[in-house]
Amino acid sequence: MLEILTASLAFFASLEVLIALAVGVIAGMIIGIIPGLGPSVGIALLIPITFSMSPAAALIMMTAMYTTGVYGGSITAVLCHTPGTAASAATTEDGYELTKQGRGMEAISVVTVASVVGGVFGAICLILFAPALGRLSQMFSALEYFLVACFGLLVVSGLTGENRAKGIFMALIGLLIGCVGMDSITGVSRFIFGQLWLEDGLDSTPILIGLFSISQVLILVDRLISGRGATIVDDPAAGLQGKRWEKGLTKKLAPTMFNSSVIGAFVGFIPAAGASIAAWISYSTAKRASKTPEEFGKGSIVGIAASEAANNAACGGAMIPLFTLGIPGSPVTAILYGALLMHGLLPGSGLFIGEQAPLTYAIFIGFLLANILMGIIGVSMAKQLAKVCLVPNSLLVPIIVALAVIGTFALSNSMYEVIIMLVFGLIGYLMKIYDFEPAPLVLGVVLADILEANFRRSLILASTRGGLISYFMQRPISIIIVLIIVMFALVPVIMKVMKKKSAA
Amino acid sequence: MNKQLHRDVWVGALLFAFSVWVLFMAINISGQAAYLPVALSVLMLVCAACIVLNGLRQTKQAGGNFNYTMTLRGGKEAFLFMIFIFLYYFGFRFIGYWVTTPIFLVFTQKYLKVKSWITIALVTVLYTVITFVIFVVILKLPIYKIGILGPYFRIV
Repeated sequence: MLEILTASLAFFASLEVLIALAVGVIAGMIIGIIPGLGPSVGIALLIPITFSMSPAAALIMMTAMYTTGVYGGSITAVLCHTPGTAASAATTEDGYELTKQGRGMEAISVVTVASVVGGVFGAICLILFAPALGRLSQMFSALEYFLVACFGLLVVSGLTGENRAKGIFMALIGLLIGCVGMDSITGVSRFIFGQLWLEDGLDSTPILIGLFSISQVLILVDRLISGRGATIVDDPAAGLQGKRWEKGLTKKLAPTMFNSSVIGAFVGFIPAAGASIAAWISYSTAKRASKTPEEFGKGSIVGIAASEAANNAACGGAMIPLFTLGIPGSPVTAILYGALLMHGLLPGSGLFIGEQAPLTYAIFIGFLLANILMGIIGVSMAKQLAKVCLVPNSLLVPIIVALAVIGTFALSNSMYEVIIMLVFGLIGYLMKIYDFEPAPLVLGVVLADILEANFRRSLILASTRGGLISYFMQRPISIIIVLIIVMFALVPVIMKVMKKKSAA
Repeated sequence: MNKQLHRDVWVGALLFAFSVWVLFMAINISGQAAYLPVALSVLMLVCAACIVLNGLRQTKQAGGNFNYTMTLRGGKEAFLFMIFIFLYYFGFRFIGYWVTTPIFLVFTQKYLKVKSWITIALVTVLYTVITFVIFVVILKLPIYKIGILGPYFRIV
């Protein structure tokens, strides 16, 4: 192992590899910042560009773009309430609240540090445990994917806001939106109203941009016209008063960042789960574990650290089944799979032994270095980035709208996506007026397909193995996941009872 | 009487009616594909009923004096701006992005009370040039296919 790692370091003596690493990091951050565009679009664009490059340089550039693209999406989530991808949605509320309080620089720094911690943790898992974890991920099937989605759904209970019925209603609407289009098992069309373009279903990204970005733009317009706020921050004079890193923050955030990195890497390596589910689960877990859960959604630094560490750790986790088994669990890893094949690397055990092993580990080390470089750039630019909160809303609003429109169009070169985004922008604004939380809806949309398709697949599998209960009992991982779900649901109840008893 | 009820009562009632409509559509889906939509719409009905009940409870507690942070009437400016955004969408759809966007940027900045024409011009030109470079020159996005003036902005 040590020999292979030493041999893989030799790749970094090449100027081409170092330039590829730097370009991947910077381009990923820029791509992530533009609403709608994310790492999948960025990596897809890199494929023809990297065709003539060496495999090490090309794949290091792409994996660097993967992790920094997720990070870039969180910068706009914090500063403009505009998450670049679904993975950054969990960061939006708390990050934006901090920006409004004039603590944008601190929020960006926490996002950066947590992303680096998560990213580095994911990279270490990739380097040290990839083959072993790869074998574990092979043990997951439709039933386990379904149970993970159920776990994600349980997270909704922590995101419902003050009115639980409204939050659950929104989650159900999200799941219903996920049902739109052709049913993946039977091929029956649902809720398409004769519109063929709806057959493919609704993508979560335009919905996300509409709900978070456009609705926030409307609020900014309202505040601006009524003279209640010319900038994002309530008090522009105190706009950049916060520090990058307050004293004691490391001690406060370290446990959350570590726990979230573990959750992120674990959820990430389950094919089909992904960074967004990892971020929500981690956010909700941190909220449940917190002594001050009421701060979540109102500018909680712990909340930001939880979701950010998880979504970046999930990037490393998602590459484990890709490299070890050739299973791409998300659109980004599917594109990376194509890139691996294009550069003559066939995913599987062959990548970890023999001549190809140093190259494989060089890609993993490149991924690790990309996370560190991202941290250096992010922290050093935090003050400059935070100045966005001082830009007058009268300039910011038109730019956000125009960028949201073009970014959404760029998703699939379709005007239908743009109209969906605008309609959900209006719905998002109405939701704000009537106190409905957008987060459960987004989570519902993300989970719908995984939940339904895998449940029905597992029913089909179970029918050949003596029914669902018997099939479930034959799968130890399913039993473990169910136990985790039960624990997750019961721990707050037990804690409450214990608190009551100790108070009495 | 209307003013004496908390707005959640009406919102819940509206969502209940919506859920009934969804349930009606879900029942008409054939085979296994109907299971989840039917289950979801039934749960939506339950939640909508809970929202109504919660609204009634709040009505009783507040005694008709409600203090809403945001209202439909208070959001007039926002709705007007949403109309501008939809007009921008139609401009993009039928005329073209690179013609409609500068017009939208200039108009909305002026509407949002930016006083300096130099600032307006600078923001508009910078945004248009930067996005043209990113989306057309680098990303090769086929924006030229949209709108009657779109083909004039196709990069050679």
